[in-house]
Amino acid sequence: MSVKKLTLLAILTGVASIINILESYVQIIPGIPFKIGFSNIVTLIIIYKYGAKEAVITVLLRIVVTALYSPGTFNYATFSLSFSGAVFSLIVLSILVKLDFFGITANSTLSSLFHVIGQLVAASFLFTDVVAYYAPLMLFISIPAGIFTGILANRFLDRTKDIFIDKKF
Amino acid sequence: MKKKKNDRILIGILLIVFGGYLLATSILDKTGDIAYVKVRNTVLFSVDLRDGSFTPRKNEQVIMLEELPRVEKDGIYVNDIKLDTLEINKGIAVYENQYYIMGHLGIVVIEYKDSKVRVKEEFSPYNICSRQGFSDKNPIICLPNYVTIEFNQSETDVII
Repeated sequence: MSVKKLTLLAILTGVASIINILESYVQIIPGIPFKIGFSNIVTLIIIYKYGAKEAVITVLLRIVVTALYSPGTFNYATFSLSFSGAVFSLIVLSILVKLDFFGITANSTLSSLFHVIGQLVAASFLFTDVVAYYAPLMLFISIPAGIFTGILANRFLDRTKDIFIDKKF
Repeated sequence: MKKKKNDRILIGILLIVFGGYLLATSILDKTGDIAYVKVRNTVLFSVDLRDGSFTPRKNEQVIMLEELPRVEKDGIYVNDIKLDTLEINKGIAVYENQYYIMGHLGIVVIEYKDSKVRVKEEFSPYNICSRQGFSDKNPIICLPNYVTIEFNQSETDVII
């Protein structure tokens, strides 16, 4: 791994972490802990420009950094939710990018859907009954959220086609 | 361009399937009659939403308070004396229509009012469950505190 690539990945991880932390303070729908997941734009950019391995590393780093920076002590419950969500969505996203059957928007939507599925799986271990109630709503909102992040990532990749990020270092 | 078409078809299908799922479940949903307050998945006490009567778990220690206590993260204080009977998943303090229990991060204050309940005060990074407000249908989840409030029809039995 060249120094240039390492630096860029580090910067992107930092950007994703900051977006993630800032987003925690904004509630889109009051009372429902749902985030659009703007930091996944960075994940999409990395997976399309560098590959699955780099995306996995940066996402896991981002989760740990965010968990450490969130106010209060390290919280096991919230960490396990974001961890299992990330694992599910990364597996699905890697397979989809490899298959190359869908465009970036559909890939982002499916991975966002699986992020919620992963969170629901983790939540079903923490709280058994409430998961069933939240499942339909969370699954549904994950679709527009995934479309949104997909479109934004697509725009970014389009605009930066011939700038730094396109060259594989 | 084939990809774009694939994308549209897939997103359309997903929206219809999960939109239908959401619609179906929201139509079938009814408001509950009893609120069950759980800590780490076991019912600590329940509140009947129709009359506000309160049923603690069997053999649970309940302290009836005579005046409004001061709420701190580590416990509740009555006349500056800390009530040390509240522990995680153990002990309930009651003042009028307010219930004080100990969550994973600190005290959680639950209030009953006009056939609904809410989490009035709690200690967590983003205060998601207290911002949710009153509810008699949607479960309230305080994730970092491991406290949930769920609503059931009176017909369904939950073992307390």
